[in-house]
Amino acid sequence: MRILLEALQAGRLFELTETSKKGAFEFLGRVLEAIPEIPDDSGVVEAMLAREGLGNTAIAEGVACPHARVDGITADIYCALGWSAAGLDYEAGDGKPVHLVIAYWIPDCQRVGFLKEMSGLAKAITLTGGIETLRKCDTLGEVRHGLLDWVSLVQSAELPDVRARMLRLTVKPPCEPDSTSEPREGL
Amino acid sequence: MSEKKPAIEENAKTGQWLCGSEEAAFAAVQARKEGLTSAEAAARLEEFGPNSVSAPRPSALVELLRKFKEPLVVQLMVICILSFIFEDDETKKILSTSLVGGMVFFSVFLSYFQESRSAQTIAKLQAMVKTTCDVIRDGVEVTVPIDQIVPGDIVVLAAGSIIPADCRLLQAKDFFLSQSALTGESMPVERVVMATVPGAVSAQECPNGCLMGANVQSGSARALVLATGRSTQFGAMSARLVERKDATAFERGTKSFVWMMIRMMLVMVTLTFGFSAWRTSNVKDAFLFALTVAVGLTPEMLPMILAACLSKGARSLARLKVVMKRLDAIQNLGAMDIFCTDKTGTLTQDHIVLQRHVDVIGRDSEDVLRYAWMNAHYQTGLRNLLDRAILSRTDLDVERSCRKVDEIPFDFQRRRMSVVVDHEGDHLLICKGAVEEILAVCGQYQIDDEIHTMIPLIKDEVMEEYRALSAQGFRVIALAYREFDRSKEVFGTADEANLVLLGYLAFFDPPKETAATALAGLRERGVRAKILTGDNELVSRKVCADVGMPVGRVLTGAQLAAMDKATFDAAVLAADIMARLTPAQKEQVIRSLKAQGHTVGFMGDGINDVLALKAADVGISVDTAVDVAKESADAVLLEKSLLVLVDGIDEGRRIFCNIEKYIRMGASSNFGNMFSVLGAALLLPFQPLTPVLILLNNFAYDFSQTAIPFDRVEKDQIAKPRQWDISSIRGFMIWLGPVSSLFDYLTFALMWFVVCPAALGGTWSTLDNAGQAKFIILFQTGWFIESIVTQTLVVHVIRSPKVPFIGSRASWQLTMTTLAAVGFAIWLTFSPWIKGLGLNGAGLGPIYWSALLLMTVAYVTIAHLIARPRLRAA
Repeated sequence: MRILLEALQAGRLFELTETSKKGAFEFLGRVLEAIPEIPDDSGVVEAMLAREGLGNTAIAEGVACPHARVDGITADIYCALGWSAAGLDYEAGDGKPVHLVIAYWIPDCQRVGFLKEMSGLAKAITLTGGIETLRKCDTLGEVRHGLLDWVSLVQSAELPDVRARMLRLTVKPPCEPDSTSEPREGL
Repeated sequence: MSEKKPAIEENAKTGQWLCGSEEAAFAAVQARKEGLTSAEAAARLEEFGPNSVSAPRPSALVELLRKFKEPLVVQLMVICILSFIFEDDETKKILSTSLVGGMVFFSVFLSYFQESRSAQTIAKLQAMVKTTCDVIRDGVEVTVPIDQIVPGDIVVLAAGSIIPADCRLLQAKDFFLSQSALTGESMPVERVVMATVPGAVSAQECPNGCLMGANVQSGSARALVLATGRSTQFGAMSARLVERKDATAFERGTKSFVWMMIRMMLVMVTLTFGFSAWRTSNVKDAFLFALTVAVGLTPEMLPMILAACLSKGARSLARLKVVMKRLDAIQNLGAMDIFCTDKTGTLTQDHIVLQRHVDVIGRDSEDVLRYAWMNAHYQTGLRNLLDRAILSRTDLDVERSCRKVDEIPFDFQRRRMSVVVDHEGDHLLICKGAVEEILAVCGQYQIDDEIHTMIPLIKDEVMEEYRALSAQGFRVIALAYREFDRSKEVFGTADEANLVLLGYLAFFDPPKETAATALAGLRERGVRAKILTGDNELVSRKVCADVGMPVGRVLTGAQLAAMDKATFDAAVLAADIMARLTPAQKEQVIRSLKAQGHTVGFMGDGINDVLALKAADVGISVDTAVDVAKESADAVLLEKSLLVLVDGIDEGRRIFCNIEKYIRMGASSNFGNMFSVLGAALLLPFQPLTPVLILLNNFAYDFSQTAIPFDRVEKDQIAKPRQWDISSIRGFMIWLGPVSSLFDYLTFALMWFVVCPAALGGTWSTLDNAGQAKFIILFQTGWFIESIVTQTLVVHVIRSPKVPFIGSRASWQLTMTTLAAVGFAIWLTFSPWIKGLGLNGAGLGPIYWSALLLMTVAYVTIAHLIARPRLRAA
């Protein structure tokens, strides 16, 4: 949730006046392109639309995470947030309107960071009961506070969910083993 | 047993015994559970014949008699009989009949000898590739060649075995068969022993049945052989599939050339007979003369030259371990300008290797390999090519620390399978399978050692790695796991839930090492390669990239199916890869390319390639192919190297060049001779050559041509595809024929006006009968020598566009035979012991010999100047 936190701290949460999905993308795309670290003319909106073509990025409970992946750039991930009290028709799988749109700009080298961010967000939605708490907010400031609560909740919770304990086995020697020899290092 | 044979064959057709009881099956083939004895097996082998679907080779006598059916041979035999009947002079009768008989002998026996020599070489080669099978004989398990299996045998089958005959299962354990060779279905089918099968099922669906042509994917079994060879279901299918192919462009071309020559000969012979009868007033002599002219005008050695060239090529290719099953396909190899191939097993090794094992974001992961190995190692069900590829990558020491707890077998609905392993206090379920099916049961995913919750958006993201690997041409499966408490001992498909996605395994069928070089060799030789495959386009692209084959347009079967004929023709010509094709579409593509004037080769190895193999001008298969594909092919590569393809193309082009030499020779000199004989019959008051001299002339000429198959071929003559071109042959006829005639007429003039009057002291009209008889002998001697010299030496002109004898030399064999023919002709004219021939070389004098030398040089020079541009353009 580091990226979300940084965006909130940098003031990249906006009230969405657009009512369409594409309008929201264009608005948040312009916000992202205004970030100095993101190269000019990097085609954020087009990339987000292209990704949307592969599958809807609504992650349930009124939250969507459209994102633009870029190759060949070494940089951090950035995001910009849009809040729509009325809700957007996002063509989400559950049919519900989307209120919170978090648009990400992801250099290809940051895929792991993005996946972890998504897992954190999913955990926050599960722990807080979803978008319903935010929908009760009257102002954008309250939404921002609500989102900061999400961040702190996830940060205080144990993440990742589990630490894997992978099996460690040795490779059999290629020929008849000597009884005195040490086993070879595992894979 | 003998009365059982028809019954066995009838039941084999319906597959009835496969589904009946075990006792009924044993009773039907009069066999026992202990198997047959060696003596019984030998007797049954005698009765039922070898267990092979190939048609038996006709006997030597039948093959020899077939040679007599050639139109040119029939023509010679008719002439031989007519000469024998109508010739009064006993010496001439014997001589002319012997000469024509000798030509028949040359043509028939030499071609038979050449063909049977190469057939023997090929048979020896084919004998090297025998397949074997384990069978119970005399109560013990022995290995015998598959063609020795007989009804009543009990065969022992294990993973990798091929099903040698139509069998009924007696015992089976986790027994899965691939019936793709029979049904085209690549998914394995399980076979189990059932006492009887309720209801009516086809032989291919009978759970007790194992049909010839299938192979064992996993498990083990024992089965009773019910039908063998052509009595099997596969045999019946093979018999239909290996029917004779269409005539190739070359066959059609040579046939039309022969008939053109025969038709022209008939016209010219009729005219010659008419003119000769009118000029000499002797109808019988004119008839015999016309008959012998017919022999002279016939390219009677063509069958022998064809057989010798093709047989020599077949033997050369046999040394490269290429079995040419149809000799004229060698020439088609040389003419081929489009080479189509199926991908698997031909360009690729048909040997799946595990190329990558990656985590969910595409980083190499040893954990993925280790877990996949555990899964493949502990599973007991269907161990497919992918499992073998995983197991061959590493070998883990699991005996001390792991124990298998349970297994959830693979099935084609779930498209995944799991094993459960006890390891350090936990029960670990490891599941692998189709990516979509694995993702459907994953609730979490793992990156490094961190496990996170999976949400749909993340599924889309991690699917991207799968898509990227697939786009690179890999076959991808996913791997996931879940830990359970040790108290849980029994597992079912419901436990394949909330798994942790660990990563992906990417497999690939690597290209043959020689594929890239061979394809580059094809390109250098002007042959365009195309892939026609049932596989998907991504994998095909990957293979093409790996073998350095440029990929332009890619088409799929569905796209082709939607096209009208004109669009289809243009599209298949332009495309480099045609993927997801049905067998019928492969054939359709080949036929379209052929109809557009291309000579098309096709290389394939499965039953789904059979239609295309038959449709192609030259069908090529590999030793690992299914039998029916090998049966349908014209050539079978026994070596893994594809470079022999390139050698085969060069050999085919060399052969075609040499055959072309004879055809050009025949067309030009025969066409020239027609003019000369016709003119002589019209102008001269006597025949320019006696029938016996015409036959001798022809015999010497034919002899000189027998070395053509051994002649050298220039490198630049085999640089591009060589196709049958009747217009080029016509060009040689129209230009070289009259030049040859021109020198004949010069000789006539020389003999009529100069040599004969000088030697005999007077012109034709001033000489008495005795003098005119000497005039005729001298005239005929002069033309006999000139005709042989110019006819035989011209081969050195038309064999290469380079300057004869200086720029390019013929092989020593051809040089020797042409010199021998010339020497023989001159010797005959001086020979004291063939007085009856009516030749007088001694009387010719220095003017003749000087003029002959000059005319020969002039003829060779003019012929070279005429032939050179045509040879360069060819």
